[in-house]
Parts: sequence; structure tokens; C-alpha cells
Amino acid sequence: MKKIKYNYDEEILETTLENGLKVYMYPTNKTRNYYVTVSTHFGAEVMKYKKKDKVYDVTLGSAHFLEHRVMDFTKNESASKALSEYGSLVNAYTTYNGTNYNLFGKEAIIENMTLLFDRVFKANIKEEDVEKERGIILEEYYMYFDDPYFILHNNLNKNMFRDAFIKYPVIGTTQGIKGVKTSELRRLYKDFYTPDNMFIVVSGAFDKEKVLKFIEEYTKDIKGSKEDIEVIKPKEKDGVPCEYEEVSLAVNEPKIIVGYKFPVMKGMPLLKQKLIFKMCLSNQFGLSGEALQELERLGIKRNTWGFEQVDDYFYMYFKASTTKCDEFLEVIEKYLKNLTIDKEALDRKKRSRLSSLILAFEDIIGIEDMITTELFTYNKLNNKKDEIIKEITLSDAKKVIDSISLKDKSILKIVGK
Amino acid sequence: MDYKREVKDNYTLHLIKTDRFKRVNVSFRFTKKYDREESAYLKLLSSVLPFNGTKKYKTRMDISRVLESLYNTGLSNSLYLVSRNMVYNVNLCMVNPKYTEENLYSDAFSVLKEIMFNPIIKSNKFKEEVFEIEKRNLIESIRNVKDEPSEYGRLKFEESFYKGTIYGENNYKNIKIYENLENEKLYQVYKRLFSEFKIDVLVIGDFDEDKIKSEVSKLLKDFRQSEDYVKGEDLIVKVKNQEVNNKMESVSTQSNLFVGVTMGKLTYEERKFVLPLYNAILGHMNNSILFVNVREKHSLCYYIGSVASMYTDTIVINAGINKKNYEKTLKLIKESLDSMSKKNVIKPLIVNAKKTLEIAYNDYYDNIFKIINHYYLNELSYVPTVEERREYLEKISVEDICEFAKKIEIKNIFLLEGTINEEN
Repeated sequence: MKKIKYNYDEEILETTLENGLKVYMYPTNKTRNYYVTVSTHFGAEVMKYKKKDKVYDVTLGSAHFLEHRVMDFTKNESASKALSEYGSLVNAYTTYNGTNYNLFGKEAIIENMTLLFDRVFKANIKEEDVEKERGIILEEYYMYFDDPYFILHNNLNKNMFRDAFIKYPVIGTTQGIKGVKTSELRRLYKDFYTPDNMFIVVSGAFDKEKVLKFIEEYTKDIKGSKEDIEVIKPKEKDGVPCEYEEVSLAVNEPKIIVGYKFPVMKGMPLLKQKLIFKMCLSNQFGLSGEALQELERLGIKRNTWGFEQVDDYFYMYFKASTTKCDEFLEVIEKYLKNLTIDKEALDRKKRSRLSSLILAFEDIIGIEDMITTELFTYNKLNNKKDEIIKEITLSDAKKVIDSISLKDKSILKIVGK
Repeated sequence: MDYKREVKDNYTLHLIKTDRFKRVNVSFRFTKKYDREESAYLKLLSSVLPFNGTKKYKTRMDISRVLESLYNTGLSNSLYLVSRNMVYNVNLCMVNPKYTEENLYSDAFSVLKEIMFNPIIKSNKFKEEVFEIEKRNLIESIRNVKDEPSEYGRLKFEESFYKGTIYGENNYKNIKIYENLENEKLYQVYKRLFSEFKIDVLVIGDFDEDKIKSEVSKLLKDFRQSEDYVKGEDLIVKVKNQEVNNKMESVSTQSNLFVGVTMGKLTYEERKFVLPLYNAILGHMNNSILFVNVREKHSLCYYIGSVASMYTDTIVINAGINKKNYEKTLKLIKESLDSMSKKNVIKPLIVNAKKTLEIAYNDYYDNIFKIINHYYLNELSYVPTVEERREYLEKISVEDICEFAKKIEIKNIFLLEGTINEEN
């Protein structure tokens, strides 16, 4: 196995099996438990794809629905009984970029992996189980849509983007949940749960040779390839479909969110751009920032911000729960127009980022999460992040700041009924 | 992991030495018997202190900048309740200086000292502007609980289920107290931290013992301790209630169902060992009885689970449902509780539940805050160690669980009624 070296003598082991399945391991004797996950690069961002000249539209929410049915421990009595003998904890989640199936255990790792792998690699999606699952997923949907902050994000995403996947929530729509067919779920499983589109991560207390041997043995006959599959992504354009929306809900206090989207800059690695953006934004809107201080002086305390990448665009948002929506927007815009970072602040932000890298290897779920997130996002591990951080210069920061455009923006307000 | 407890005149020092973590965490816990008004002041203090500014660092922004430069050292103030005690917690968390810079201990402690001891005070008041902003923010945050239906539902349920006890208290109900908080009185409450609380300092990590001890000793030299806190058996709060069945309308889509159960008088062993295992089988582990009966067999909810409370001898069951399914769900919950006394039901599940708890016990060693909490709670009343729990767990039989189930009584049912009314 290849050793991927990290700072402070940490390393992650990596190998790619013959069928294309990637395996990552972080063995440690500092814990008594282990954590195993299997992931596929199939998430809610896949809305259309082509296979051998045939184009398929994907029902919204299918990736998430499929996750519910692949992880069938609860409806598969024999698997459930076997799992119960070990007391292991299983779970799964779906994002835009992928789907993750996980198991947290303390003993019999091979037997537990067999149980998890049997679900993920040999799923049996039954019609009657799909029908039963609709009610459960609908309740999950209603739970999300009872949260005004979820609505704030959901509607802003819809208003900011014309075609990109982020227009729709991962869980999909009620029509999708009620209407998706078992045959579609089976096809999606066959097309996207192929070994070369998937990876396994194992962290914690385990024997690495034994575990790798088992994975090789178990997966050697699992075939299928993503080669014939071409995900068709809509090309997002500049501009926003809706610049302003007001939603009436029974909330105690109005909520506001403003979003800006602008193209990813060419000529600088994506990771470096993202790191710099986060440092610059937190330098104004984070705890140590003047913008936050000004917002707090105005009494706008319950506010937060975020930054993410959507295909070829960056997307940043600022939100607050406040009656002073206009003042909030003024402060955000004022500081974004004058976004800057000096040497002292850059050094301080670098130290802050470096500390999180030092602490990243403290727990086995955190390590798995770091690996999976990087693979979902970049399809590779970024073990040289500390070097990238250390090398960032003021001139790099200036380039990134200059690439920000505030032209494409959308505002969403939730006002009380 | 090595543990050392040193009792000083004015505080108790808990040194937990382990190389398991790359950070060093120092937690200062100020404990005192709960008082409704004082607790509101302490809650506000936890927001005012970091924002008020000090003689050296004029604003919270200045404080944050110096903490960032110390490799993002975390410094937080918070208030929480442990049974009938209120606990003011000041937490300092830094990357172990062996990975960064040697003088990180003294630098981090000096920021902490500045915030704790040198807030800008004029005429026995914190900065008026900060006080007003933080007070307003606190009140609005409390009111905003209505924007979170499940939290709001929980709070209304607890008011009824735990009526007349500390567990029936909540900030939303006590909003008038928050509206009447005064700056001068806040300063008086702040000063009480120096003399009217029990003080515990819990340090965990691969730290330099001499340096830490010296920093803590310097920091707390002007503090005195008090014995005004609740400990031992007095921590157990008896819930005395009539059977109640309430519904309240809400504007949320989903309905939130809460079922509160009591279990009469419990022995020490039942409370510490049997109750967690019973709860794991009922509604905590994978494939718990509630999860299988309500979610999997009948698709009535996305989430359902139960939580056991160690100081009230109660269990609270919570599920998000459609209101049309209320009767059906309640019937299934009652059937699930009844089934807990049947050996043929418990027998196939008990091994699973024990192993699930063992995994949680293992996880204890990986979690800084679980470790600190163990030693802190042990100061208030004896808490069995993870290894003692593991040993006792082995002895609990199917019969023990079934006998325990006979003590269970549903006392409170509460539905925060949403608007969606369709069967799944």
C-alpha cells in the first residue's frame, strides 16, 4: 500500500484494487473501536446521464432514496440479527457529491465488514420495501421543511442558480419521493455503485494486513464500470434567476440571507483559492473581523456566513435572524466591497488553519470524514495542505479578492405571518 | 491515562494525563445550587464577559485576534445545569505546545486571566452598550425557540412532565426574569464567582504538569470556595405528577409527539446499570423496539428514540409524525413498552444492546469531554467508571430487564400538533 504522509508523523495508507475500487486505511492503537465506510461518487448532483447513447433523467431525490434502500439492515431480518450479535452502529448519508455507508464497531471487524459490504455491494431493492420507505422519507422531508433556516437556504439556492444541481435539496421533492420507481432505483444502483466509482475507508483499531486481504477477497468478483456512464451536467450561466424573494412564515423573528455567485478563477489551484477565500472572509466576518463587530454593535448578533463551490462557480452567503435586514445588507456589502487582508491577519489566519490540521487526526470518525470529504470534492487526498497554507502570500490573497464579483446576487427574506 | 486529584484550599485540581489527544484542555467549573434569577444572570454573564473587553484587549475582536494567533486557542464561557446545580464553565482549549510554541501555556493563560479578572468596569457596571446588546440578543434567542418546532415542543412537554422541579424550568418560561436583568446586579453576580462557588479545574492532555499547576495556582489565587451546592443522593429529583395528556397547536408541518415515563423508586444498581440497558433496547440502539415497531414496520416517522435521565429516573420518548397517525403511533409506543416485560422479546436483543453500550464505553476514551465530565460529575456523587459499568453490564439478565419493565408507567403524553394531516 502507498503511504500518504501527513504532518506530525501521521500517514494514511492507500491502494487501488484491480477492479478500480480505492481503499484507504488509518490504523491506530490509540482507540479500541474501528470505523468502516463505503462510499460512492453518486449524490444528488447527478440529475441526468448518458449510457450507451441513451439519456436518463434522474428523479429528484433518487440518490437519497437509494441510500435508504441500500442500507436495508432494518428490513432484512437475517442481516439485522447478525449485526445485533456485534452491537455495531450503522448509518448512512447522502450529499450532493456522494453517498456514504458507515459502521462503527468494536469487535469482529471482518464479520462486520461482510455485513456492511453485503448491503452496499449486493443490494436487493424490493418493490414492497420501496413502497414502505416513501412514508419514512416524506416525514424526513417535512422535518427539514419545518426549519426556517433550511427554507432560507433551499429557496436562496433555487433563486441563485439557473440549472446547477444545488437548485434542489438533496432529499428531492415530495413528487419525487412519492413517484420514484423501483426500476429506476435499481438502474441507478447498477450504473453508479460500480467499484471504480467507489471507495472504502477504514480507521481505528484493526489489523491492516488482515483487513486489506479481506477487502481484496470480497471485492474481487465485483465487476461493473463507470466507463460507459457520462454524467450530463447543465452548464450554469452568469446571472441569477431571481434577485429578491420574500417568504411569509410563522417565525418569531424575520430571517434574511444574501448570496453572491462568481466564477472560479483560472490559473490558481482550486484548493488554494478556497483556503484564501475562507481566510479573507473570516478576516472580516469571523470572530476577529470588523464586519462582525459592526453587525454586533447594531445588535445583529445571530448571523453566520458560508462559502462553497458549485461546479464552475463559487458561492458565498450571509444570513441573519434580525429585524434590521436593511442594515445587515448594507454592512455585508460594504465589507465585501472593501475586502482586504494584511500581513498580520494572514499570518494569524494561517496559524488558525494549521491548528485544525494538527488536530485532524484526533478521532477516527474525524479522519474518515476528512478522507471522504476530500475524495467527494477533489477525488484525491490533499496531504500537503499545511505546505499550501504556509506558502500563501499577500499577492495570492489579492488575486483571489480581485476575482470576487458582487454582481450576481440574490436576497431572500422570511417575514412573520 | 493517569488521573490525579489534588484538593487545594480554594479549588480541586483534576489532572488527567494522556497522550491520546493533541490538544490540552483546561476546564474551570464553578458550581452552586440553582437559583432561577442568579442562573439568568450567569447565562447573560457568559455572553457579556467575552464581549465586554478588558484593560488590555478593548473589544471581543481584539481578544479573538490574540486567540487566533495562539494557534486558534479556544476560550469559551457557558452555563449549564446538573440536576439542582448551576455550573458556570470556562473552557480553555489549546493545541499541545509541543506541536507549536513553548510559551503557549503562559500566553493562553494570560488571555484567560485578562478576560476573567480585568473586564472593563465603570461604576460597578459592565460596558453599558455590551450589556444592552447581549441582553437583547439573549432575550431574542430565547424567543426564537418558537422557530424550532421540535425544541419548542420539548420545552412545553418538559414544563408539564417535570412540573415543580428544576427540569420543568426553561428560559422561555422565565423570559420576564431576563427582561428585568440589570447591569449593576450582573457585576455583583460576576463577583460571586470568586467566593460563592465550588471550583473544579479539570486538565486533560499530554501537558507539562509543573507549568499547568503553576498557571492554575496563579490564576485562582484570589478565589475562595463555598459548599453551597447539591451533592450525593440530593441530586436525585423526584418527578411527582398526575397522568397528563395534552395537545397544543403549532404552525409547523410535522407534529412532535413526546411520551414521558416514570419508574418509581430505583436502587443504585437499577439507576446506574439497568436503566441505560433498558433504554438502549427500547429506543436507543440500532433496531431498538421503538425504531422497528413504529418506523420500520409501519413507516410512521423518520425519527423515534428514547432518552433516559440519570437524575430523575425518567425516560422521554420522542417522534416526529403526521397528526393523523397520532393514535396509531401512541398505540404502538404503548405496545412497545409492554413488550419490554416479555422474555421472548428481550432475549434476542439484550446481547446487541450490551455490545452497543460497550462501544459507547470504548468511545469514552476517545472523547475529551466525556472524560472530563466523568471526573467532574464524580465530584458531585459517585459515578461508576466505564470499567465498572462494563463489569456490571455482563451480570444483567433478560429477567432483570423484564422485571424493570414492570416499573414503567406512562405519565405524560404531549403532542405539538402540526398542519400536515395525511396517512403514510
